[in-house]
Amino acid sequence: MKRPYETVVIYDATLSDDAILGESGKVEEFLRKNAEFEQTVVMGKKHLAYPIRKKKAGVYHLYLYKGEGDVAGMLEKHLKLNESVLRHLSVARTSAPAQPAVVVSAPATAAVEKERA
Amino acid sequence: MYRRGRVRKVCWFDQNSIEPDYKDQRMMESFITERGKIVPRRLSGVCAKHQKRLALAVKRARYLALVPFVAENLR
Repeated sequence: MKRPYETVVIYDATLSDDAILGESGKVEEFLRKNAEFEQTVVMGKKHLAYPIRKKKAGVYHLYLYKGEGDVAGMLEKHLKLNESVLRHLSVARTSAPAQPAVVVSAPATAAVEKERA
Repeated sequence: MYRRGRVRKVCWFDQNSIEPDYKDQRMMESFITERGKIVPRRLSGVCAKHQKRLALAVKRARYLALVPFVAENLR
């Protein structure tokens, strides 16, 4: 049975845009071959909260696809060998939206500050 | 008349019909402290169901370096 998955890949931001697109294209090709590829969401270049392999920024790509249980594992193997990938995470998709939702306010932080005061 | 006791907080996720999403950096940041700890639900008012999902989401966001494990250089 095919299940929906999503994989976030962080590429090394020191690489050129073309190189990153090329690597991303390889992942898409792999997914087209082995799974039902849906789309790629480019989340953009972000500052890393902590350095990974001495790199301070990364380019985030999100891949959405449907596949059998072993697809995510196969993709991980492919990504692990790739030097331009700083980090990757595959999860089974739930009903949560694929794209980041817009946060209207920050209730929790306000609550903590109130408690501290 | 003055009513004793605390006002019951409403779960922010239920109120806005949103699910915790590890990819949403701003959402994750709003549910962690300055230090990088997950805000307990007694402070944030999040319901048990969403707190559990939020905790998992924050841990995923930490792995993806969207939020820190420990925020340093606070002083």
